[in-house]
Amino acid sequence: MPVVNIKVERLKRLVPGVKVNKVLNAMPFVALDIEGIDNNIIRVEYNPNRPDFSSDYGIVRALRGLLGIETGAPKFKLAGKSGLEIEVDQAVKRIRPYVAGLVARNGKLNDETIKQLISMQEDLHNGLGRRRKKASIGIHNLDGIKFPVTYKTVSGDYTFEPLGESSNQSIDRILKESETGKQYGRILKGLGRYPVIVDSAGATISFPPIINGNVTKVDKNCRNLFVEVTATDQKAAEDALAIIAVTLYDAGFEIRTVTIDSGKKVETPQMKPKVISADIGYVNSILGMALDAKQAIDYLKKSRLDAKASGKKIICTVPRYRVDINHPIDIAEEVAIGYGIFNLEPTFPASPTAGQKNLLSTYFCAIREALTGLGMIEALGFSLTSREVQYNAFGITGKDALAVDGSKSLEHEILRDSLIPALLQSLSRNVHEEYPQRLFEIGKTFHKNGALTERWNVGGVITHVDAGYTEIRSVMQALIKSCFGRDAITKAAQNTMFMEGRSAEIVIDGILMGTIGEVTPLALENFKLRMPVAAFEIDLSHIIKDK
Amino acid sequence: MAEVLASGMLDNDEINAAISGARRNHWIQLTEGKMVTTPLADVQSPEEIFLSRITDIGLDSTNLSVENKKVIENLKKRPEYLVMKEVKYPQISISEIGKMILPMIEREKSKERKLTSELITSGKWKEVEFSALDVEAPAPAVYPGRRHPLVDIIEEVKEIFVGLGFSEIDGPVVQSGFWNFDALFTPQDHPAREMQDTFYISGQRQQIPATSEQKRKVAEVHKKGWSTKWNIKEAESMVLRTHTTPVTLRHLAMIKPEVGRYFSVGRVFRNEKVSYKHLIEFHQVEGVATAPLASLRDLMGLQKEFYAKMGIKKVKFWPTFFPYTEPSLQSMVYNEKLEKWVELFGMGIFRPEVTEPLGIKNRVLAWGGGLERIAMFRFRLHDVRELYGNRLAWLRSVPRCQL
Repeated sequence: MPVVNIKVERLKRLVPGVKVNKVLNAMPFVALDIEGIDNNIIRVEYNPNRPDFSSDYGIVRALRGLLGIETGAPKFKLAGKSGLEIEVDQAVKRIRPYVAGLVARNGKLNDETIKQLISMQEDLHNGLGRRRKKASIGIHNLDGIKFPVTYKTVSGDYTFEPLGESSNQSIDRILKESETGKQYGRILKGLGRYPVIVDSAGATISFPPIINGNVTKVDKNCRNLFVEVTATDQKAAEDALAIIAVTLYDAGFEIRTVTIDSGKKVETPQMKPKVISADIGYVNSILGMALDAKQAIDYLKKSRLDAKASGKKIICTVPRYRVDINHPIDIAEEVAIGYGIFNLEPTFPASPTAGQKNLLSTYFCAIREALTGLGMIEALGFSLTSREVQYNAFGITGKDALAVDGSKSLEHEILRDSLIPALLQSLSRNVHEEYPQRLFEIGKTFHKNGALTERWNVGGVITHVDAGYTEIRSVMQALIKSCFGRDAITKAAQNTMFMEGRSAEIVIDGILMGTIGEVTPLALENFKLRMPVAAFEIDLSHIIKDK
Repeated sequence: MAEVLASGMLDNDEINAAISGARRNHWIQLTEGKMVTTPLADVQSPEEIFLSRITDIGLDSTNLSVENKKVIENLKKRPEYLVMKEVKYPQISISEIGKMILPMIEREKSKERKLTSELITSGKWKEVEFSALDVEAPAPAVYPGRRHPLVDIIEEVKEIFVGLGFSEIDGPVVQSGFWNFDALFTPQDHPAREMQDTFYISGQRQQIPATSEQKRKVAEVHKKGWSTKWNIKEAESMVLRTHTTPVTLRHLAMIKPEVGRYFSVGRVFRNEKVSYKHLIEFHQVEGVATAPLASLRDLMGLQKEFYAKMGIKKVKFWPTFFPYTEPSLQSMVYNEKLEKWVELFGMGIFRPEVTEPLGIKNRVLAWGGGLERIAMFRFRLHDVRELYGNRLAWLRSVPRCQL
């Protein structure tokens, strides 16, 4: 989850008149989580549905509302058109089709504001921008750019001076050698051409989504900024730009639109608010409240939304940067947040139904009772295991095993088809504990017979100096008899887990349901066990027929 | 003597030692430059007498005369001649206390130790006395069979749900991308769907287990809500479920109850790096309650009731975000032992984008979370992996009742 660092002094300045503690205590109620405070920097975690929280300006905007300092939609005004143009070459259509931009003038930047802007840019890249693939942002020093600029494509040997370098480099080289090139280069892989933004004097100001040009580097002396967003998704570009617009406005800049000329001319950013209506009855029903329209509107204002009543309807004006509000249900939530979740009292409706456990649970309880009654202790193993434990330890390969992609460790590569290996693994962790040791597990096993099937199994192991087939057979037959009233039959059969001549299939009601035997010394050695082990495993799917 | 000296059986050192020894004992003397034996030489020396007394089994050296003790000292001077061995003979004798209780023992000897079947059936038990046992001594340790402690908690949670009117449902651990993500309004390019967070079954796809109407409607909702192209191949992928919600949702879509309360407890999977606080496989519990006018406050009430039954009295709620619920809340509970607030279950009302395409008309309240956390608090564990280590030292020692 993304994190924003806010300096305590800045918080004090941006939320004036309220004790810092009160501000911190209010944060959870706009869904912010304080991770920690070190050296007067508060680390605030926010949810990805609120990309406007990616800078402290956004967080403060919400807090000022909830604390009643400034309510209703935040002040924002476009100062008009900048008259500056981005011309779009059709060639970008198949590479990275969308571009939008804005101009921010007459602002003042300091170290902290720049930090917040960079952090916001990173969060927008990762979240909304889906790691720059969907959208990426370039923030540039406006002064010195010769407009109109052109958004076009170039070949791999095109050169320019990238940000932070002192000489020209080719696109190919940047992709291969630079950090961002290596990280994000795959977005442009195989397309053959590369998007760049170039000004009228031929200076390359951006190579999206990889890196800016050095020529438009931003420092704290900059008073004017040019922001461009390129994207494979138009909405993502516009959402990101809207958030940047209100943030720069709050930072003291004057925001003007940029003309995008791709055949027809369009002004960006488009900051028109959305209008969403919600029925007051609907809102009350969702929340379990009995508010009138006026009250609901007051609470929406605390959530930084404007609204007016029209009969039973609340007509809510949602500022463009609130990309999380799309549906009347979102309006209901904003009413609740403005009201204050801390103010909501729980209600306790009577249950309309009687409850019950399902058949599976009931059977499992019976099996547990029988096995614990026979002195066995329940173990819990993992569904994901290694080929080593599941197959190699018994001298076989598991090439047909059901595997998962991209596991971060060899220990969790395949889905187990039997419980006994994990039980042996548990025994190997207990070689220094008192014997006899008796473990069982009820767990799911996974099989591939055409379709992928999941089955519930029960397995048990007994180990001590005299452990053997007779004892485990007694236990297994007692389990089947006392739980299910059946007699288990054991038919001699070979099994790679067990010693030759000491293994059998378990047959109940004429159906083959399991396996039983003395574990082969090869496996005992591999599991570093020093005592004989006898084991059984039964597939419960034939016995327990759940609807 | 002359013969011995000439025989060559002794080397020069031995000859010199023999001569000086013989002179010291006055067995020889130097007369006119020649060595001659004296009459004493024919008398048996104390050493010779002594040596004749040593038999094969040795001689007890403890009670010897002073003279013989001197003999031994002399003989010991000769290298490797005598071997002294210490032999221990333990001796047992009755102590004072022993003498005191001797009469009691004499009486005990006449008592029976075992009450045999013979004594019972023959009636002879009436004629005999039975000895007392040391009833204060501890007996050898034995260990009862036991349910796994985490299962204790799972069963407890199940009972609480049943008590609140919820019925249990269960479902497969392997789910299609459709039910695990798409039907839950999670966009197809959401980071959680990537291989780094979710386990995809290698080389497996399946026909989506849903009606064509359900598929169509869910696809529509995605196109409207997420403005990204909806790819059916993503929905056909097979994953290890990342939450139990696909199970409860499918059930609701199938039954479409007017009112109903259901719960499910089962394993869920996240492709994370295993650590002291993260597992890739853990137990999640989830409850859903549907009714025509189910509200957020009802949801908070259900939570409070649930926690109260677990012995948790202090609960607070904060707003949060989940892709498929709106509004969404996070619950914080006060842990008395740790003396701090900890995050527990998340909850919310299913979004219309989730319920409408599946024809679920009424509001659905949902909540859930992982159970391992609760187990760690209750059993005071610091590493979540201990829950699955199956170490008998722990399993045999966790008390069944936490008082």
